[in-house]
Amino acid sequence: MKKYIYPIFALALLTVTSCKKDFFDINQNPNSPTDESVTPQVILPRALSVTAARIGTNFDYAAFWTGYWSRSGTYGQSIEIESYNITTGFNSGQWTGWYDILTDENIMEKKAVALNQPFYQAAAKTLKAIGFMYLVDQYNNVPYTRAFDIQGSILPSYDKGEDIYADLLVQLDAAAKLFKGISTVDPATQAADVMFSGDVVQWRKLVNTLRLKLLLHESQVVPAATVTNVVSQITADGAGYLAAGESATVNPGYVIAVDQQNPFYNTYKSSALGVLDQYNRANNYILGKYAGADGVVSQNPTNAGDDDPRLRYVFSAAATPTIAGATNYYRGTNFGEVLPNSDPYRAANQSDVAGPGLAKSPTQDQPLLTSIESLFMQAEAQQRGWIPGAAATTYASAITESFSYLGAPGAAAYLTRPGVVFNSTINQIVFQKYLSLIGLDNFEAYVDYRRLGVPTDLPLSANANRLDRVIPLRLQYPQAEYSYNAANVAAQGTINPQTSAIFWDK
Amino acid sequence: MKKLLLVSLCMLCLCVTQLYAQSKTVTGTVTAKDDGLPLPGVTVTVKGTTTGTQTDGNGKFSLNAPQNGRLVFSFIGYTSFETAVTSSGVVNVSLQASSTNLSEVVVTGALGQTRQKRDIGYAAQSLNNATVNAGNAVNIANGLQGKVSGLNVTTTNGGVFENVKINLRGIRSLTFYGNANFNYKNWANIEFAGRSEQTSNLDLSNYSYFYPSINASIVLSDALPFLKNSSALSYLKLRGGWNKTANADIAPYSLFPTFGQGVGFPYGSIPGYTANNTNYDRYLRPERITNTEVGFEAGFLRNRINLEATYFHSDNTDQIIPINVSSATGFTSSYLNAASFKNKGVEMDLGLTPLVDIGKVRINFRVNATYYESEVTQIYPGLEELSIGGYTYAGNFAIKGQPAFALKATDYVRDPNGRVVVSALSGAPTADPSTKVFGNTLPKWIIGLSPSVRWKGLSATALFEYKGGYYAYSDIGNAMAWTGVSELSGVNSRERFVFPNSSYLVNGQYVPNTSVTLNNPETFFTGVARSVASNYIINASAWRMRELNIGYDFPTGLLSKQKVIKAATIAFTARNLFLWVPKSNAYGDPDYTYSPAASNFGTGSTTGVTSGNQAGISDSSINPPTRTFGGTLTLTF
Repeated sequence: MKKYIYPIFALALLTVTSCKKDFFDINQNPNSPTDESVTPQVILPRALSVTAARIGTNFDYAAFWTGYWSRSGTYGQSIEIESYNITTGFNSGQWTGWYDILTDENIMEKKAVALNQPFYQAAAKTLKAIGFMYLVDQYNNVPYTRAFDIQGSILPSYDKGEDIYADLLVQLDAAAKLFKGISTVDPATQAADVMFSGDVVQWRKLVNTLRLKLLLHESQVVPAATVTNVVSQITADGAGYLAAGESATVNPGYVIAVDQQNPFYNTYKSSALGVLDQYNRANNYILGKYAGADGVVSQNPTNAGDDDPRLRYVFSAAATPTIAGATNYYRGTNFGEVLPNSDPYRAANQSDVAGPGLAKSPTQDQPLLTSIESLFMQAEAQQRGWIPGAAATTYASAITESFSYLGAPGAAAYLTRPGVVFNSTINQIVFQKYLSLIGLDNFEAYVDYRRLGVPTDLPLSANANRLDRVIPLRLQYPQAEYSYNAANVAAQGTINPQTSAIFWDK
Repeated sequence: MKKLLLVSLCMLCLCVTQLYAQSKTVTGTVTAKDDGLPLPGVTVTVKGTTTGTQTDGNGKFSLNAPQNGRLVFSFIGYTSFETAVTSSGVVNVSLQASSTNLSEVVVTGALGQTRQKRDIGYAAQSLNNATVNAGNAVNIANGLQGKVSGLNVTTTNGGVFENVKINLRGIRSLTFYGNANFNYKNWANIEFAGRSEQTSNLDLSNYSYFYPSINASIVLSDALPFLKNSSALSYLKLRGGWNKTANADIAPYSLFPTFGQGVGFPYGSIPGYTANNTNYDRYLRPERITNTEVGFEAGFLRNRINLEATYFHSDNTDQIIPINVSSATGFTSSYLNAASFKNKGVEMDLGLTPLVDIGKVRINFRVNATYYESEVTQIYPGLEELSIGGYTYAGNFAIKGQPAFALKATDYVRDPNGRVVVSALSGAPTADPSTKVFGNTLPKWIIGLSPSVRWKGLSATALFEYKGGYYAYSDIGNAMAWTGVSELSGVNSRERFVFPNSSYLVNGQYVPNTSVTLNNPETFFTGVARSVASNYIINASAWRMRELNIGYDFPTGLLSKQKVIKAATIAFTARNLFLWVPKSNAYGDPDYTYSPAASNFGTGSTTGVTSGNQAGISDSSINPPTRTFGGTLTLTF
């Protein structure tokens, strides 16, 4: 050993003379990756699952306002949401949550360009279009062109909602073209794509369906030339839309464990620790719409009678149905009603919102955009004359797809019922879409209600504090913007959710 | 592996010894002259350098010194001793107990060097153990409350162990002093210091900084012949100082934004990374502080009256602050050289010892007072203001041209006459999300009064403290409005009422509201009233009785009958006895701020002390202030 020491000592001496500046260059944390080491491949799985989780579990407010869900008597009233008197604190997580995931998608896009990875570039454009669509549909004008540039724009200015929509359509066309140019996808990317496993044709169908979704959101204001242009781009792509059985769903490998269950199941059915949702329950309004001609929900446990069979798949039978001799398996409340925490208003007496057709298992896929919604949108676009095809056929396929997704029987019989038989109106298509998207895309019902007023007889909240307020047209910008980006949010004028509409809401 | 270890060991040794290429190791033992016992804790320094060490528990020391260097040994209560490095490298020293009065020795900020107070060109205050411990405070920082001018000690949380936040002269602690000294005839003194530091926390382009300082003092009462032996003006010293300091007191790895796995990830082998929400600046620069101060110290009537005053001015540039930003930037906070502040003020100390001396009764009185003001002089390019801490709807801002730590908060929607606009239908106001400035959260005045009285063996000392000229936000008001238990939410016995000083719109005109009552007070107090943070802003001024100490020394005659106990003292102590606040403060002690260590603005927390960038923000989770009572019995054998 001793004989080694001298050479080592000499070596050390040499090292020391160079032990100067770079001795201090130790600012890369070995435990946290920085921008240099992160690749698109490690960003995509979370970008996909968080997007799907947000769509599936972050729009309770839309479900309450559109008559899908209500609050059980186990909980006291939530005055803000039930009086429609929303503040800058209400759902501020929509802003931070979407911008958080959009930040990652923006990084993914920049990295993909630098690394010449067109798949991730196209995926980033697609996911960014989804995120910004949800932001515009809730806030109208938001930072877009100056977003994600803290060096250049520490106070990001806002872009007009219609301009953002126009650019999203441009970005989606670019995404479609990038996907179309990809011939092979490597196994690592297939594993990272927890939605389509690298199937670029499915991605193109999703992109095309998203383009149709954007056009339909602005159906009341969009110029005909825009429709023609976008539809011709969709046609040029040639992959078509998400068809029956082709829902865009995400599954990174959900397991029964804390933070790792399917988000919908985890939130509305049961957590991994067995904690049940006691808050969200069926809304009497939609129960009435599912009820048959007699207007009354069947309480026969084995026979739904003339009810829409899907009622028993989107809602669960009450855990404690029998009260004072009367048995009611499917029971809800009126939104905004002050209820005592006693029978029959307790959570256990009422139908939860994670019925067996929606919460099939804690490890099921999480929908991001369903084939059901795709078919209803195609039907509406056909009825509007935007795209070719028979609206009646697509309408029937859409309803059938809804039954099929839920595992409910009797689609064919349902299609022959009065009121369900196609009457060639957009309102009917959108109303059936409303009945089909509960629990799958609650927010879309809120968009459709604002742009078309469907359902037409949606009741307002029963809360006494509602006064003359109606269902809000949008969210308030979050308080953080007023405090940290004051001049730019002030430039949007005074926001009154009762009167300040999204650009497409005319 | 073994070889590697050896190499790194060699490297370490070389890195150290390289610095002292011309030096040798000096060892020795320091003992006390009077009893010959070893002295632990003696400061041993190489004269003219900042190299130094302390003796260990056995009085032994070891340090590297130049062969021709001189060593200085100093220890409180002993006369400093200077000697040359011996050729043998062994230096044994015995120190003579000093007759110097302890109160004139100051331990300076750096290196633990002891200095004669008369030689120092900057404001320095000395407190003896007894003064700090008079109230049996749970930690030394609390023990300093109200006793040092220029020091603002804020308790961040109550409970048994009070966490505190310390602000010296407003914004920054003097994180630093190093010095070299020239003395003329023991009445003129000038010190220069220059120091270069490198930090591994910063990028290589910014990692090194130099800071110089100069300070000078002159004891006029010794220098001017006609003042010598004057009984009226027994001591007069003028002093002045200038220094530039720099620091980069940041956590390691604060230069690059990082990524982390999202919640739930990894799922099996599938990772899912997300950008973390704090942005970092790779080229972060060290903060720089330029301090200038002038002052005097005067003693009158054989030092019966002592007066000290200091004017100070500091420029704090490139302050490193985590600021809150719009999440549309991709981050929620950003760690930047965000702002520059100017800070100036006056510190005054008056000691009347004794104020009254009528034989057996002796009354002393000490006063210290600080006034200071600050101004934000520069802001990160492109910004007019920065959110530097607190709540989103009520927090601390740095606004160009305004005092540091401006408090901005949301308010009601008001008409041009300042009246609260209510709905003609519901009588209810609405919240205006745009925040407004409601004052600053650092006190402009801090005053400490300490009278003490002694009669025979009985003594009593009290400490009163005042802080004023500032505001605070009490989020507990928000929580109490929610639960309906505050004075605010109990207005008109919780029945409908006409909102005070309100108006509503009729045909485009605001008319005073005298009749439309608030339709639902519960909805209002659980809703809009909570969004309006200005409801919970208070004038934070307060007088308090901080400490009381009543003691009794048993007469020696009583003890003379036995030989075991030589002296006995019994004392009663109490802290935080009384608090006087303005009527507008319905929420309690404004001295309590809130700075959770886990938050992005409470960074830099160390044991028991939180030095965040947040001031005057409290919520309902902090413990109430503690009032402590205690007693001590001291027996000397």
